[in-house]
Amino acid sequence: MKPIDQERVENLFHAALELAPADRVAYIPKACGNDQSLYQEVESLVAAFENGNGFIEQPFLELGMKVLSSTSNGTLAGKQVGSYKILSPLGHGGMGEVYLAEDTRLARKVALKFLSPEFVGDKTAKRQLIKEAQAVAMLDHPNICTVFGLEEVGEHSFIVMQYVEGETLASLIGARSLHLNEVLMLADQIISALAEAHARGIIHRDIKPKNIMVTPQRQIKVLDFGLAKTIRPRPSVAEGADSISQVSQVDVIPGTVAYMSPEQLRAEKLDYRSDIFSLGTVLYEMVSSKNPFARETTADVISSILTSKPPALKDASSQTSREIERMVRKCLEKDRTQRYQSASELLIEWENYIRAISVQRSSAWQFVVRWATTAVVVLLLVAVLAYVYLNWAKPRTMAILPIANETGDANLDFLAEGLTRDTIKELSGLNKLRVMAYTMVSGYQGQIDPQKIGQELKVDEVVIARIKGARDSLSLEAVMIDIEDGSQRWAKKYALDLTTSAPVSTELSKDLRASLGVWSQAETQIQTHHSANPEARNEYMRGLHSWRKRDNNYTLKAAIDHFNTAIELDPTYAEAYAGLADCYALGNVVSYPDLGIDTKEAMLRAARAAKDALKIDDTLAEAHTSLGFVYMKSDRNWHAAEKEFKRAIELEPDYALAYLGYSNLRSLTGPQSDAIALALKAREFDPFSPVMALNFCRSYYYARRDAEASKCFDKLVEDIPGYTNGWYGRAFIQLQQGSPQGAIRVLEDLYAKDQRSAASALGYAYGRAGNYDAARRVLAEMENLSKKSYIPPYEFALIYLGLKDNENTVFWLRKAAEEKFATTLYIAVDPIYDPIRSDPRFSELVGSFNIPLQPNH
Amino acid sequence: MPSPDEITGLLVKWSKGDQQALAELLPLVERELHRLAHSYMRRENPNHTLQTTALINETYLRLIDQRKVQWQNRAHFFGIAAQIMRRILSNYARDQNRVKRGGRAKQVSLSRVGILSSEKAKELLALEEALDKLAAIDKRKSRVVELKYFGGLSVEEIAEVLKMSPATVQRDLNYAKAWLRREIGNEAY
Repeated sequence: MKPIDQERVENLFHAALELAPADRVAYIPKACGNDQSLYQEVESLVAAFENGNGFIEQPFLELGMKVLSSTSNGTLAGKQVGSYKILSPLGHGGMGEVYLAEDTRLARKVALKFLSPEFVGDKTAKRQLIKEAQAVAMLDHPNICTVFGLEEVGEHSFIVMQYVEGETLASLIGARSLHLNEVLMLADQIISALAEAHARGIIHRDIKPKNIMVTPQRQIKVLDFGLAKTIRPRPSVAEGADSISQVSQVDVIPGTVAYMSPEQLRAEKLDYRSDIFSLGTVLYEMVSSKNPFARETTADVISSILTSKPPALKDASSQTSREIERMVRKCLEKDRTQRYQSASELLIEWENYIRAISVQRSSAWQFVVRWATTAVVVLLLVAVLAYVYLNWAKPRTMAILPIANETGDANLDFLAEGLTRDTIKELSGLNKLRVMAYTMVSGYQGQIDPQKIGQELKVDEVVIARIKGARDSLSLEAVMIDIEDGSQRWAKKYALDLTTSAPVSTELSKDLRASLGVWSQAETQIQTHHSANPEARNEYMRGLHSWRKRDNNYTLKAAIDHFNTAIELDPTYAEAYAGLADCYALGNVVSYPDLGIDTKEAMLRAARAAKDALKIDDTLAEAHTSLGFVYMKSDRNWHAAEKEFKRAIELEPDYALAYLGYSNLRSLTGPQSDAIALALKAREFDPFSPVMALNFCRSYYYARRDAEASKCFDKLVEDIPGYTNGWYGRAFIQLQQGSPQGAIRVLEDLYAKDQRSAASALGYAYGRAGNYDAARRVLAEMENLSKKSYIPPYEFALIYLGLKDNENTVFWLRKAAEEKFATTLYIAVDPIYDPIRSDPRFSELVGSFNIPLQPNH
Repeated sequence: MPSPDEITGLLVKWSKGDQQALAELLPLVERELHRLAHSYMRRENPNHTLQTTALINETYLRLIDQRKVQWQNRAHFFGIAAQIMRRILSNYARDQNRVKRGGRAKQVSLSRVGILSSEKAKELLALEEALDKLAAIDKRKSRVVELKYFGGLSVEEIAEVLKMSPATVQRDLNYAKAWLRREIGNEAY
């Protein structure tokens, strides 16, 4: 091949550009003649030019300037100023520069805020610095960065502050979207910090995510009171405060425009309500990851703050609620008389909301327990975080570990599990106490070392309890351990009587409350869905326990029996109906025939039980979710299913299973990006569940994002090698990517262990690899097996698909669809069916699902 | 800090092709740019692009004695700024990329966050690499791109710095853009 003549390429390139784009297509081959490599070179360059819209159009100057201005000259770094050794720049804001330094006298790290070089010697600026130090020094609050002092060394005046390790809220929001739980907890601390400032007569005036630090322990520290203004000056500084306040008013628009209040932009006199507006903007961004007033230019930002109504939060985020929407909206009222009048007013409503949903959430735990992994024995660690604000004192936190059954009688496991759940539920109803999403908390295995777990969870106290004794003389022993020194802070022994109507959990939770000093007469009675009938309650707990441990059809049947007995004993027991609905709606499809019913019947029963539960209590997210699954899998009523999943998420915004269902639905209808996002949520809220992890990988698979799916499955089988469904998923993506050998090896192994489960996948893989003889052998074996036990028709369809036998594939798929076998629906999107997709019989079948397709965006 | 006289002398020398003069000028200009950037960004003027050009101009006016230079020297000065900008940005993008890959940095400084999105950082690094390749084939074209996109120079100013006709600058720009676009590939955009 002769080398390409660079000059000719260029000349032809420029000649082509002279022409209208439409004429270039004809021109290039003509001009290049037979020279194929010349043609390719010119054509690809012209194509790159034409597609290059936006590519290096704007100079990078602005970016460069931002980088320049954010990196410090480091003028002070490395120097010794008084007793402080300055280590590195931390950032700048207002008129100051902040450095990390070591206080050599006290041998601790501190942050020092200096005036920027251009303000050194500026008397007004110096007074502003002093004013900031005085303002913050008035504040003593765990969520406000503490000021240690104000020093002058030579020409330098600087504030000595607590050094806060962590990241800014801005970078946290920038890196990922926050869970609603996190938002609630973090926001609570921000509001509480601001309430303290307002109570002391201080307006912050520059509330924005960059001024809010989040420590690795998830503690908020509000920084930078550099613009703060004292409304009620203390007499001793009254004179100074007055003249200082003018400083900031001279500055036209300090701070970041996007978080300013309308009155701030109009340069009016500010009060607490300006902070409330800025706070509303921050809250909005925490929930949705979007600033409500973000626009292209600053002028547009200003105009939208002044005039436009921010888009509803529910349109900007999938995880909000009417109540959050209302509170944020009230902060963002343009007219300040319509806003909260101070942060403490908002704080009361925010905390009321947290309390209200923690009552709902406590019921989520049962579900999680039922859905907890079957393969691994996971001790679900349940943390109740008790925030005890005594005049805004340091919050106290507590974790309750699962109660251990040490009676030696496995029949009492249900009791230990149920008591843990009830105790937490009753504590969660307490003012100033909130429950973290249980699935979010780590799973621990093996020996429990309360101190270690406490430290890992960063709680002050851990409660461990155990059931001891024999059936007629059972007792519950509980101790509270102080994590700091490992000492026992409180202990008590209770007699356990299974026939009394007042459960021992009530007594235990009462004592725990008392020992924490958070008992209050004003406490409202915790609303539980529980039955007053102790026998019904025991049966319900047994049902839950069996469901959670279901590893064969016997336990699924046992769970159903217990729930039915509970319902017989107390026909108004909503949770028992919900438990029954779960058994039918979410059980393994292969197990229905073993229960003596088919899938259709199971779905009917699930729907009936879920509706019964909702008739009694419409707020059970579990029942809504089960119903959603029935509508989707069996009725193919897509809109109804979507409504149920959405309602469940609304009721319990961290209920992983509802996200799973909704994600499945979106995988079928599109947009695929929504399916992936929802699957991710499900996994985030239940990080230890292999089901959620598998579903997440599958969402990539159905979206045909093969590279990501492949990576996801690789990681899944690496993380949980005992989870066979992960290996199946991985095998299918390998087949899809054209490497059947690895897939076949794995499937052969699985087949050797469990013929019934692995046959269809292996048969399909053989066919796909062109080994039809082997595929037929597996098919014959499957037919044999099906005489002994039920094999879903879908599995036959899969093998025939591998054999490229369209007629039989469609025949078995139809049968599977008639049986309401859930997996059948996915043929609409599963890439392995692409070769048969143009077959009219196949497309007719898919059409019969009536899936309302939504465009991908 | 050298006097404006000395700095002006260096600039005139470099305009005439003295590379040693450039090496001495670069840190001086960077320091002044840095200082001005700090005070500019504090004012949070919405019109960043205009402001940046103005900033380089102000740096020029501060450092260089206007009575001793011709108007052409201004373009050369902007050429220096372009080099500085390019180096600062690629270093920053590299740092940021490293932090992203190495997990969360232990201490995130208050302000060094969120200037470059990770996409933008990758884009810059890809461009940097491609520009180096282009320079190996055609040094002049890579300079044209540098002056245009990192220095914000107009076609006429580039023509002055590189002693070419404006028409050739425009042709070089078109070709370099297509070449870089193809080199980086479609995926990045």
